[in-house]
Amino acid sequence: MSTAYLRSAAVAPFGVFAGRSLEDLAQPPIVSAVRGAGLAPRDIDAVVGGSYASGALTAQRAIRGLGLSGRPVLNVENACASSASAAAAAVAMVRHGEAGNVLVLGVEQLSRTGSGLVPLNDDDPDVRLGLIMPAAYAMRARRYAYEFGTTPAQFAAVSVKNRKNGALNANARFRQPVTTDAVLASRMIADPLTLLQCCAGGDGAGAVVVSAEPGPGPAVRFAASAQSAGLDTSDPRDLARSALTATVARRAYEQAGLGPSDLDVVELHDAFTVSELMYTEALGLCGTGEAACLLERNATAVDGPVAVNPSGGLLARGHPVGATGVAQLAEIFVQLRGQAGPRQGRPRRVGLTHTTGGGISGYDHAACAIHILVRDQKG
Amino acid sequence: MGSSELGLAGSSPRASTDVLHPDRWRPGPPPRLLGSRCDAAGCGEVTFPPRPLCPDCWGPATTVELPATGTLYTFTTVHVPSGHAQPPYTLGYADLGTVRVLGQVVGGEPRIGAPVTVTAISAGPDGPAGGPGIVYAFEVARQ
Repeated sequence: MSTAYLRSAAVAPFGVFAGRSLEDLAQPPIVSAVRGAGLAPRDIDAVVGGSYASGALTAQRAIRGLGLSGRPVLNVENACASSASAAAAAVAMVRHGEAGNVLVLGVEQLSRTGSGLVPLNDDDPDVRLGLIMPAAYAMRARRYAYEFGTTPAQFAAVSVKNRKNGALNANARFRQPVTTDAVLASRMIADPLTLLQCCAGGDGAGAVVVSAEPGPGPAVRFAASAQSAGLDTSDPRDLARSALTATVARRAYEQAGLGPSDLDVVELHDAFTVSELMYTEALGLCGTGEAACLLERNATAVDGPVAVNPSGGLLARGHPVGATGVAQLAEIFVQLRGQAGPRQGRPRRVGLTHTTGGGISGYDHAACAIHILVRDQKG
Repeated sequence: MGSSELGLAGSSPRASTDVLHPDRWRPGPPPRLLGSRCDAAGCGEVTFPPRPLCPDCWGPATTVELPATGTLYTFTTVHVPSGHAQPPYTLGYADLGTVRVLGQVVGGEPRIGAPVTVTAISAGPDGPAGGPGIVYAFEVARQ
């Protein structure tokens, strides 16, 4: 099996860009990623696109006019984990020798749906009962606080940290730091989650090249690539923990021959404040119920021993659903190469991305993808 | 997916995505949610909603009534419109026997661990069926 490298990565600023076409949105990062890889369009063997709600044949539309057609093109929809799952497919293609260079793109235009809420399947029974994503995570937050004694200020601290990081990221949608008081005083969406504890959808795009060769610059290697659906079960699901993230993380650590204590930097799926606490624990960065304390000790700050969401995460960067996975890979890429500018708190060698999605009846989480990336020492 | 397509005899429950579908609950009185229990010896898996096949062993399953009372596992009050419910409304998961079920929460002040009773409420014009109707909910006793 061949080694797969993250050869290049590019992300366009996230925001709300009404009136822009899918091509306008997606093509700048595609061109940057291919050029950054030191490649020409003819060198790209396959294209895998990730998107959630951009309609049919998103990847084919996104690459129109760029000389990337006439080769294998796949479209992957896996809710929030769409482009992370697309990257997992690309890594598998490269590892199995089916392609030398695979362009992975993630793109989303949620401003076209006209609502601040991520659109869910209208025929889903839970959605018909009134379920929206903030409510799903508010129920987790209430249970989490009940079991672990988490205070409102401890939840808010996640937003404060990630907005502070986002202020250092030119591609983030929200670049203003916020205070604990402002987070807690913002409009109640689904009790106990206030507006500033919820990510915003919006528009965005990013692209990466997964390759059998490291390309120019320091080599960033995929040490693990793991993806899974959660369990569809009637058994009582534990809403204070994420069984799916823990399961996929275990597979990823086994694949990489590494453990959570080896990680220097993590981009995880902080769609809501409680999400970062739950997933920090499910990834094994601390014990169950301990993530708020880890954050309070600044252990997960930009200059901490393991930076969590130095990009600002979903809370500050924004969450154009299908673009989030490639945006996470792009942040880990610059962090491992020492090119993260003001967000480069320390040199980082081992990074992890975690993207997970849900929003359908019967599944605790519907999809999760985890990648572990390593910058190998020059040998 | 109908039971005949799955090669099952008799009146096995059908999978349905319509929350108001009669296979999913009986409005009563008294209202009860329906599940299925696997008939296979040594399995006995209970699901909600009812499934024509046991998800564990693919044996035939029988429709059963879930308990009329349970315990509130968690809840939230939603303050923004969802398209299917007008704010503010409360959603929660109730443990009914061995299954954890989502529904609206009505009645007294909700709290984790509160006893709840399955009830039927009127859904608004944007209700689960896309129009007026009734839907199951969990009622917390008023103090």
